[in-house]
Amino acid sequence: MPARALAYIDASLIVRTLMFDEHAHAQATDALAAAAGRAATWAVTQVETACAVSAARRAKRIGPHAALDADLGAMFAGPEALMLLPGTDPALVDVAMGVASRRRVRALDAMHIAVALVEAKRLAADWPVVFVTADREQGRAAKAEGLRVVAV
Amino acid sequence: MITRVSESLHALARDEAARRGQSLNDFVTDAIVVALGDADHPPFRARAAALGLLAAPGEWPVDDLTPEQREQRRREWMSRQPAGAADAVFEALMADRRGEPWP
Repeated sequence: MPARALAYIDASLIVRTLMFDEHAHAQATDALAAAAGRAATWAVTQVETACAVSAARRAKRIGPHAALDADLGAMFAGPEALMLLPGTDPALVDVAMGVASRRRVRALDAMHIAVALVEAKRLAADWPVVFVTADREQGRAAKAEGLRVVAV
Repeated sequence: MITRVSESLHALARDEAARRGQSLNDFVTDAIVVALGDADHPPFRARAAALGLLAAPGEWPVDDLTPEQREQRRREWMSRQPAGAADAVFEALMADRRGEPWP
């Protein structure tokens, strides 16, 4: 993670930090810690994360765990929480459609990349935006769109 | 500028700077700019709020556990999870993004 940069954090990175014996947990946790104070994500990341946790519970791949929910609360709503970008800039849909037409991406991937390209860049001003993800395919698309990428 | 800090804090900052390939001075300067901002870069959260780029978080549960208590509870829970549980949330997220069925 470059020193002077704004980090855009994808949901895939967040879920890698949730459980300490998770694959790539240490790298994901380090990446998030290195971005403290300058880490942002799209507000919809909360929904993606909640859906993934619920799905894993329904599949009985993980059991009930109140502390896990509290950890997510701290990540999204606590005093050290990620900044949540609203994804309401009128340019976003056009940018996401452009990404979708050029890259092999899914709709949400295109939107995440668009939020990083539009709202995160606006917030970062003259600092670069670094797209931090645990989804390699999405990372390749973000890089092809001109973003600096850290793939865990 | 800060001239005296504890030896342990100095060692921590020096190691972190080395890990990032930065000089200690650059590392500390960047940390201060990120935390407090400067003339050209106000702290990001304040800048996001000023630009209308800060959405409100959803309703997340809170508890009054200390970090140590939460970590202990997490370890106890993890010790009861079946094999492969640790990657389950990530797999669920990826399946959702691919539009694949998931229970």
